[in-house]
Amino acid sequence: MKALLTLAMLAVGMGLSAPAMAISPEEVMADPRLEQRARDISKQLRCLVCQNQSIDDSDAPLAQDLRREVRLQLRYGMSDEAIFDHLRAKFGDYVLLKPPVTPATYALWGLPVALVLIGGLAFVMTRRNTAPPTTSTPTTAPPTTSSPIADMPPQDALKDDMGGAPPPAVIWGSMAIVLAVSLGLYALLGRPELTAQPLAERQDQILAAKQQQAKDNAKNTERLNSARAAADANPSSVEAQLTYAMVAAQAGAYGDERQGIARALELTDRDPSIVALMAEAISRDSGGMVTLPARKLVAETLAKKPAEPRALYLSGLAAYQDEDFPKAITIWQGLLAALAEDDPLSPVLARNIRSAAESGGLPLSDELERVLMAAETTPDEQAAMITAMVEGLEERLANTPDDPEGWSRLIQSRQVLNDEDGLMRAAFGAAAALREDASAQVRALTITLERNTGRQYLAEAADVLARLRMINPDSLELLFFDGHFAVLQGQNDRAIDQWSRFLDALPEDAPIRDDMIAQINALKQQD
Amino acid sequence: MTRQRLMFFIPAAVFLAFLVMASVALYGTITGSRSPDQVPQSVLIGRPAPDLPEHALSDELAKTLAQFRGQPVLVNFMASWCIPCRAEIPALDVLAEDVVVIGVAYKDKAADTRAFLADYGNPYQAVWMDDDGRAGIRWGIYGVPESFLIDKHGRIVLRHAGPVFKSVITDVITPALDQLK
Repeated sequence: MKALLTLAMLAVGMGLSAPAMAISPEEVMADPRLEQRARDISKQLRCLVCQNQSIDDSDAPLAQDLRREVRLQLRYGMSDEAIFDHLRAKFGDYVLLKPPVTPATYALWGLPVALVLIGGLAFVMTRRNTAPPTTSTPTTAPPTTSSPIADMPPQDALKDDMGGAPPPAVIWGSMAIVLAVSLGLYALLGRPELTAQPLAERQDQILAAKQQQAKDNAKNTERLNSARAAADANPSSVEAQLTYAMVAAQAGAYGDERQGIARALELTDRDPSIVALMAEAISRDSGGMVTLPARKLVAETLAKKPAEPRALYLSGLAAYQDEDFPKAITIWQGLLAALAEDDPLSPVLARNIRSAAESGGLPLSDELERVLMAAETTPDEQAAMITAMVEGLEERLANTPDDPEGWSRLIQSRQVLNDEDGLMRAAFGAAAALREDASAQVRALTITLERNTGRQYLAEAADVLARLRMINPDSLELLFFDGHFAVLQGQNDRAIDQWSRFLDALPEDAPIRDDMIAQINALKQQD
Repeated sequence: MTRQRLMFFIPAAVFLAFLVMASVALYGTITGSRSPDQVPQSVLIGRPAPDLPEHALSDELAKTLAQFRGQPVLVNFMASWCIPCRAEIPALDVLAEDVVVIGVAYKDKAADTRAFLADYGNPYQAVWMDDDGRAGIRWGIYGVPESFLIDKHGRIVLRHAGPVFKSVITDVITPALDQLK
């Protein structure tokens, strides 16, 4: 019983693996003579889509149609020649597996004949040439020696043949050329990074992925059902409809997605942004193609809201799909400039712009290149890049401190990175390095004020104040900061003194006057 | 001696010539200028357009080639099951502003063709149904999409195998149309 089952399974397996029968039973003609002719004609006709199969062999739909056409013509009583001509008039000589002799095929038909002739000639010439050159016997040998054996070239002649072999340089040279060409081809076409990934070794991985997918599907379906229920329960809530559409899109249920958006469209009287959502949903449903109906919706959106990002994205994509790459780049570039830096669409746009430039063979300007690079990196990556750059700069300034511009950049970068310790280090470093520069001193002090870090850096600030006093003992800044640090150290008298002098030196209409007066009064009251 | 040298160099030269030919072909394949999928030139060029199928998708879409005699027409063989046919619809829509575009749904079901036109748009003034592919044989098509440009006398002037993209319009169809003027 078991053996029988095995046999049956084997038979089924063989049936599956055997080449599919090209001719199906319903095609066969009732008249065996006509059927034979149909088969003979079919053997001489090319299956145009499989190129080197006859329509008698091929299972392609076009071959099937052609077989039916041949049988139809036979039924009409046409001759074989007429049928060939009929098809040649539609498909050209290419439909005939045996090409006719025409000027275009002279070379094809003539070459084999020519090769046989050349070969024969060469053979005759060698025979003559290998006639024994060592003996003085003339080539027209007397009849007595014309036995087949005597016609064989003598041993010396054979040796001479070997001597006629090409010099080693030619052999080595040819081998080198073949090797170089092979290596060149490998460099051009080779894909060493594509290693074998046998399925058998990845069974666990595949199984796990399948299970994960099944789980995801179940979860998506559940979410979709509850979103649909919510949308049905709140037919007048635009938000519920849009949530339904979004969940449907995530679950790959594009019909549901469109339904949800359609309801939202009705509720909002065709809000342009929702029209754009619909255009996107239609494109998604068409495998990412911006179809004509989607384009109409995009145009509708942009007519009412020219900066709608989704519609702009899709119109760029439509231009891209039309192979109008400059237009696609212009649209996407404009959109990229309008987006916030950390918008998740930015890296997508950057990639698309690159791809459009590549497809259209268009160069990217340096400016655009910089914009794309910035868009392609995430905020974290950007921070990491800046940190690395800043650390390099800090190291460089430690070695060559006389670089005001370098210090300014370092301070700015530290401010961007919001690194307080680094910022204070940079500010005081700059003040110490540029000891003749009053503005560097003032900058350091200003930063302590802005960051409210004066108390932690009293010693450094004292150095800076001392330097500022050396450079310009009468400066307003010196008076102000001297007072400020006096307050921080609890020296209120000194602070009142310095700030009063500061107040006297201030112009009458300075906006901070009132503030200063209030602070001085506050100090006086503390005493 | 020299003869024997010759006996080595002739086959070597023949082999080298073969290598050069193969390299040229390979180079063409790599760069895309030579494709084994390229379809030979249609023999119908310069000949009167063959008959369209007998049935149209609907009565409004049953316009014949004869009705457009006197102006250029593009006959586009397509099918709802054909993916590249979806991609060419926007370009055909643009082309339809200058030229009458007639669709022939090749081996397609009417319901599927209708759904296809609803989903992807309808640039066609007429849509005929080639259910059994016989019109396809009359026109000598290899597959879909394939398009034929017909002049005002009803003669085929151009055949394009593969989807009509905008680049095909600018590079191939517009020059052919200009020549017709």
